[in-house]
Amino acid sequence: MIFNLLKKIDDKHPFEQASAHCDIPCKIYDPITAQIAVLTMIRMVDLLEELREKESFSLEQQATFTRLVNEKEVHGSRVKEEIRIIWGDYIKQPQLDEHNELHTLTHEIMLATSFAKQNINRAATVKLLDKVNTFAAIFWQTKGVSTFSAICPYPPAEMLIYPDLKES
Amino acid sequence: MFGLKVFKVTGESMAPAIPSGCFILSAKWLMMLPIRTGQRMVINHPKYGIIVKKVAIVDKNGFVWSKGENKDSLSVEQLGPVYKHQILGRVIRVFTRNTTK
Repeated sequence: MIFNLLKKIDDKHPFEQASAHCDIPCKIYDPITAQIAVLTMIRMVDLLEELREKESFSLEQQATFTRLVNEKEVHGSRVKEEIRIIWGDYIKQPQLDEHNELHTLTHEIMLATSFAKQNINRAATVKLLDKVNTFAAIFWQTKGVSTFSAICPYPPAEMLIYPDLKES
Repeated sequence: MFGLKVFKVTGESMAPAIPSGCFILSAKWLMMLPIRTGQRMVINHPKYGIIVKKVAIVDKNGFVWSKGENKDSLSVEQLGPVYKHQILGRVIRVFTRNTTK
């Protein structure tokens, strides 16, 4: 009764909210943000490679160059942060027991991201994507969700691991 | 009005006692009384905003340390101590969907 009354009032004039949140976004973990960030890095490398062929830059091209490098940096940092969050907050002893390569893999992703940030190197960035995909596959395994790989339907058209949520 | 205020709760860290989506009535005037362990408080937390938590301990300096009611909550250490004046009120009633009172 009172609940319904309060709910009606709340719909019209919302009450102030008191949060009982866990780690603020509670239990929302998904490696897709990291995967897409790596795709962005690869795409930036591709666009930078196009600029490499030019002998000199116009002012506009210089601006484009700066933006591309900047986005590559930003998304590199995002990869690291997203992976670190899943590794640090979600992965616990039971997942580690089952997948004892997780620490090494996470560390490798950190190093590979740094390398991809430091260089304009497509092969190295694709290698980073492989590692992040492996991480994503393990993540979905711990959730009991099966996965499939598919080419992302937009540039840079690279292979990504997706969760098969319909199946589970 | 009368130092009473209604809040809507989001999140599950106080479940099952205070589930997500329910309403709570808090009383500010009850803060005149001593704070005891186990009381549920609405706190204006410097880092996490307005939160509802249970009093874990009141230390000898008068700081209030709080915690959630289940393992998914932030820990006492993460929440840290708050001053008494940062507490907006003590929870005196919880209105959930199934409350008939």
